[in-house]
Amino acid sequence: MENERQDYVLETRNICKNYALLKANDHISLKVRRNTIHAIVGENGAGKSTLMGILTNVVKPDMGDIILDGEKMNFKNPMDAAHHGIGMIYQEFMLAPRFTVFENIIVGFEEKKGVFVDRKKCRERVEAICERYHFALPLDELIDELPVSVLQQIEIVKVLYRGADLIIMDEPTSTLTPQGIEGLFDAMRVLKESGKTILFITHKLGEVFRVSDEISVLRDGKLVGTYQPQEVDQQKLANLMVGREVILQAHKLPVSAGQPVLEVKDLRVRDADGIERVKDANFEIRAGEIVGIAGVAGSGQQHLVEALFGLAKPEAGSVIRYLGDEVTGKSPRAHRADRVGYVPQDRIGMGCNVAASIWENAIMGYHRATGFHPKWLIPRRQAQEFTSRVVRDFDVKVQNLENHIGSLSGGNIQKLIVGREFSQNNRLLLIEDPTRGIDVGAIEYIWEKLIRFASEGAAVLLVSHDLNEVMQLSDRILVMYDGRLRDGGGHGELTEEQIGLLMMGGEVG
Amino acid sequence: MEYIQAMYSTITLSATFRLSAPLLLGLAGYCFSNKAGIMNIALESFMMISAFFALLGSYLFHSAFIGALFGVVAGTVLSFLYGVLVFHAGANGLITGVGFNLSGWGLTTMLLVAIFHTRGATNVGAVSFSPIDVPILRDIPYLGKIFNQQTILVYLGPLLMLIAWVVMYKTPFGVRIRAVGLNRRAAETAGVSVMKYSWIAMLLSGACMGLSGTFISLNSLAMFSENMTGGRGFMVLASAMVAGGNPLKAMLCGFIFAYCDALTLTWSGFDVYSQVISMLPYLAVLLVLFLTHLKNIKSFGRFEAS
Repeated sequence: MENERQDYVLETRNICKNYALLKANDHISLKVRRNTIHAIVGENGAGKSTLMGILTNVVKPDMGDIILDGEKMNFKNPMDAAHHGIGMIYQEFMLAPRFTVFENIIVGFEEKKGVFVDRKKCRERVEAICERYHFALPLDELIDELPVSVLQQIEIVKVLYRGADLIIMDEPTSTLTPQGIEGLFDAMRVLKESGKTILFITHKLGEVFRVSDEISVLRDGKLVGTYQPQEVDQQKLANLMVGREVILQAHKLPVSAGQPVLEVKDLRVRDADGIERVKDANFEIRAGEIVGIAGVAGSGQQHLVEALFGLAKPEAGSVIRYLGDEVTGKSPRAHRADRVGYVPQDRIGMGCNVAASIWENAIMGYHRATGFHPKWLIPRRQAQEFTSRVVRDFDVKVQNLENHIGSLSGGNIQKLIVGREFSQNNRLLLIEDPTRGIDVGAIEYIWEKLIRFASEGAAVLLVSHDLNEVMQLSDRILVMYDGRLRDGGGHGELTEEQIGLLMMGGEVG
Repeated sequence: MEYIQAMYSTITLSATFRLSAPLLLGLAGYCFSNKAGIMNIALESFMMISAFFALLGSYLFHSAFIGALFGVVAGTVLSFLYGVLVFHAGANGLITGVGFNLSGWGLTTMLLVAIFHTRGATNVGAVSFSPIDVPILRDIPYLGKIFNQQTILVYLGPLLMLIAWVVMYKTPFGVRIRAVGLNRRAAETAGVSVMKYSWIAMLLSGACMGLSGTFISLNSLAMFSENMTGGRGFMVLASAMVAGGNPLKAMLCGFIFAYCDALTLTWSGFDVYSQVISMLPYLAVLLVLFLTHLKNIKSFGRFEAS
């Protein structure tokens, strides 16, 4: 009995949580061994987020107990979890802009001297944590300009400062470079060695095996099981997650590249502050080709795509040719009319209108296109038929086409947006992070569609922060670093490490 | 030439110091709202209504300090009503603000007629704050003429602003309120109750606007007339926004606007179109807003393409 208490730092017993008809958590009884890195894997909607919400007391369970250090917890408010040593690192960082690193770490948990903040004491504590866990943070800089990997370190130091023993990391690698991921894994190992326990939530199976001591799989709100890494392999884990065979390897179809669809010469783009974000970009995409752009977030990919689609104005001297005609500076509407599709990275902010219905979103951007023949009014039947086709072809899980698109999960919204852009006979598709934050099943689906779409003669520009995605899908790879495009070779020419090096500004010899 | 001389005369500068009070007193509270991400255009009505109640309190109890108490209570009650509407009833802040400002004007005019039977009340028997003769200050040449012989409210303005600055940047309260304004969810996950801090900032701005309202009706001369605040509530709003909620920068803005206000007073004595001169403070607001936002303007170019 005594031993067992020492063994498990956290235990959940029969946690249940229902949202209307959906069983988000269905009798989950999870045991987390002290001093381990415990991975929790599962598709979107498998119940990971709900479970984490319950552990951090943001979500109230319908029933079930949380046992922390052998003691049954009865959290009263979200801060109770933090005071009991549970620290959460969210996928979107919880950092305040225009605050220094230091202020971001201490806010809410300031050491006090009388009525004032005891900056000196806070500082000593933060510095001690940085030293102990080998973080080198620029404490006095504003967080605005710092790279993502540093922001994540700030988040880790923040939960440590708040006294966390159990650290929950929600999809921590989604925005990091391969080197950044290495750094994170090193940090996780250091944390583990110094007695912390880490719950590592991810859907990237490759990473699970790199750091985890134990792996728990969730599916449809149920705990499928907890496994040792040596018991399972990636394929088996994927099967456990989705309950069927998953092709994690994209099956590229052999295509012969046709005429150039998009030609870009000397493209330069400045942002609102006048900083040059795209520097002399030169490339072309031929019909049937997928050109992938890899790069650390913020290297200028977004400005490049915005310029190509007419959302940003390129500098004088830039030339963009589409099917032989110059289209530099044309509006997005003109581009759409010319059959250029665009799947933006920000699917909620730019890809759809959350307040509109599913069918409205399905024709958005194409409401003037042929097929809907709109003179004054939108033909509802045609629009609905089109939407039904997208929903069917792209396996979007919807109840009613009149519902708000906001009622769908992120993966389903993305499938609908991708389906919209793929179903309009577009000749060129600009696509950013098509599978960010969606589950394995949906990724596989979108990949397959993308490959087929290109093989039918369309040109695709794929911008992704997921290096694996770029490497799997692209016929040619370009790497963006600090606004410049660098050659990343053809499909399979360079290794992941070599491209990672290019992404960081290194040279491949 | 006399215009130029008037620009640095002790009369103008003394008036600047005096007229900075309604702005600084209000800013001492509103800076916190600004930092907490609350935009409140109803400040004008807070100031106007509490000015009236300050006069009423002083009239009823023959004490300027009880008048000030009335003003502060009135301001706080108004901010409470505004907070209930905006934070809890989900009302749109802009619409609510317009409603407050229009009703504030109407309400004070109506009460003025109902209680004092006039549209401009002077000599109604209310007691005002009297100027203080500060012993050492009195003997300093030039400065004495500017800073001496002001009421306690005028000295309170810069003092409250300094306190506000210390609270904003040196206390946990300040750190948290700034965090609330910058990233609400981050603050929430840090255990900072966004609602609690928004409410504190809201009530604080109401109380401080009450003080600046008190200045309007009870500084040296006890009087109230229709629309007496004349847009000073909006100047508080503009100063806080230009300063990004930093009390020291806001104080500087307050002084700039007060200087224009003072210049209006001195110049209007000369033979010119006084209407043009009285536009000065408002033009200054526009000018300062324009200059501080100049850096954003070039982003218009981005949209030329589309």
